[in-house]
Amino acid sequence: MRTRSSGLGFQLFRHGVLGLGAILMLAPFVIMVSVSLKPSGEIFAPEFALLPKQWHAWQNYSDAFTRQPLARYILNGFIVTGAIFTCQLLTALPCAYALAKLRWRGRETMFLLVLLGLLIPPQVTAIPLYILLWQLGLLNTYAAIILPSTISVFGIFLLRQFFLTVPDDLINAARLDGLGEFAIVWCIMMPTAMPAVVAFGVLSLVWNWNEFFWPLVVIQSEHLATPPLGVVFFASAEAGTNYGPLMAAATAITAPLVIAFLAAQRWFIDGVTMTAVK
Amino acid sequence: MAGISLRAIRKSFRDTSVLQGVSLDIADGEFLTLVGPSGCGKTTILRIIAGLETQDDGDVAIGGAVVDDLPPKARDIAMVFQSYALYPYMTVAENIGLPLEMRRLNAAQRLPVLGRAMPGAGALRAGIAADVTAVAEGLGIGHLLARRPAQLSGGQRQRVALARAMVRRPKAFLMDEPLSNLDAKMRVQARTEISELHRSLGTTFVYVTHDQAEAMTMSDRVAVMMGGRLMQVARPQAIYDDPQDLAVANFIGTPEINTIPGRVEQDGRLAVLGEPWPIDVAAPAGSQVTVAIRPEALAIAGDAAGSITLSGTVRHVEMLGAETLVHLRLSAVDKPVIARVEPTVGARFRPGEEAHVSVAPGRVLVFAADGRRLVAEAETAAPLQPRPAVALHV
Repeated sequence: MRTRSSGLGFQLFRHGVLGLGAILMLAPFVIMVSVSLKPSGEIFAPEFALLPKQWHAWQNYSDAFTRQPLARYILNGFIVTGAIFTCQLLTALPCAYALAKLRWRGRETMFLLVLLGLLIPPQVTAIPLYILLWQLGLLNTYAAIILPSTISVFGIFLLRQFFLTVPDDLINAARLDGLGEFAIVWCIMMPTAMPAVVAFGVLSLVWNWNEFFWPLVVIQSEHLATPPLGVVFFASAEAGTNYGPLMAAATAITAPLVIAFLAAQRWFIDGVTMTAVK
Repeated sequence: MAGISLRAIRKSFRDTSVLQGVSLDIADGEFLTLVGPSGCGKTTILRIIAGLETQDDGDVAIGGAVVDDLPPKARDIAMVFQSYALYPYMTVAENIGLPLEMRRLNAAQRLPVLGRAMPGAGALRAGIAADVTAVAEGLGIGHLLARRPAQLSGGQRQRVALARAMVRRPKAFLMDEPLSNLDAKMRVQARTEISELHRSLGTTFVYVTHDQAEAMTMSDRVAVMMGGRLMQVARPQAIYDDPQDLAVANFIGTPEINTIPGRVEQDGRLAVLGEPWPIDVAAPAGSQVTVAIRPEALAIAGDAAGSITLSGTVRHVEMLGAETLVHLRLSAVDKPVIARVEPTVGARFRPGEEAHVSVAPGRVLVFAADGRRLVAEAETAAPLQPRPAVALHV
């Protein structure tokens, strides 16, 4: 027990540093929420207060949802991230299973290629992908955002590492019980790997929800905009000092992420306690 | 129900030869145990029978039909794994019911939610639930059906694994050290239970263990494996009394069989520690042999007429309650000779004292330098262990 031996001073110092870090991380969110509740007059008032003197939340949020199709952006966000995550799981689970648990010639080479895929930044492939989508006539569609992300190299890697820890006997038992290889992936491996699937889901969701670069490149229509694009449209349309509704919009598009993350946290714990079988 | 036969099975992993031509016939309804030290290939045989591993050469037949090209699920055999391999996120009932669902329901009926609405699914599922309950009740785990494996004790998990294997009434059961994760007391109890299970089911059991006590107590026949070969396949008592190889004699029996170096004289008689013994050995004169004697074959000197006497110093006396083990140090032999005697007899021995033990010539086993058993005939009495017929002298 290291904490017992360390002095009170060190503990205070440690908590101070961690607290400062937490404040730095949380401050933008707190100010965002705070601004979204205030009338425009109060936002730039010389004295700073977290809570508004005059509550302006209703006006700001209704402005945010009526002046721009914010609900539409959020729906787009769900469609795009949901489709991407579904596709990523459909490809990553069988792929990770084959890389972790099946014996075939070239497996190590294939895994090396997966690892190499991790090293390639998305910007490198942006132009070829753009040209490809243009040739397919898919620019400015949901498919343009979804297709390039359907295969997650990171997901394959993460799930493969988790699958390595699943005992072979579990798979052999399933084979004797009459399951085929695909049934093993969906009925045995996926439920067993639920903690990894949830962790990957959170990361995929956050990444694709917040993705700005690629939707900006391939989407022109406002009704296909993802939440970050929508905020930009909002900012440019409502240019000037109208920060209240803008921050309300930002809060609204961040909320699903926060909710998803909090929900997943509980899943993490459930998942971890379920895997304790030898 | 079906017999299993293996024909010249060979298997290598990379450059390591794991099975070097194993042939074995397992009769329908037989309880056969594969026993041997770790790494001898016994688990590999089981996995080849199950179809989880493919042999490099040779055939596997189940119920007379060669199954080499059949996947595991088509072979209709069940396996109980050392780790039990229960699905951690499923309840006990779901674990036991899965093999039935895979066999009785079609793909549409197996769908997570929609499947229940498919025609016929309700009746089939009710049948599965009834079978699961019946098997679970039979094994005394009926009250655990709603639990998950993580909430069960080792013994309960083992029963769930057994129930999952039994529920679909397979042609044969394969068991890979199913008792090794239990504590000593549970293991003895489970030994009896599995034997009773075998008697009541009447199905072929192939059981793999490294524990000779399990092999000896449960099996109809024991197959001793070493280094990828079958050394001997026989009834447990025959393996013990009539081992065909020194390695088998050494492996089976606690305490280990006593071994003393010997030599074949010009007249074909055995000489041990320079003394001529009244035993004729079918081996060339001058060849070095190993003489092996079970601890209980050694008695107090003078007890039996025509017996051979060994003299040495008592090094240690182990009193085990029902029996006493006397460790004797013979001159010129490093390894002590152990005699298993009655406690009343054992009480007469004191460490440090000179002592004499004797053995009937008929109970002396002689092995060649390469480990093969040699025909040895006692000169005075009739031979007690004719090969290869089984001799029972308990």
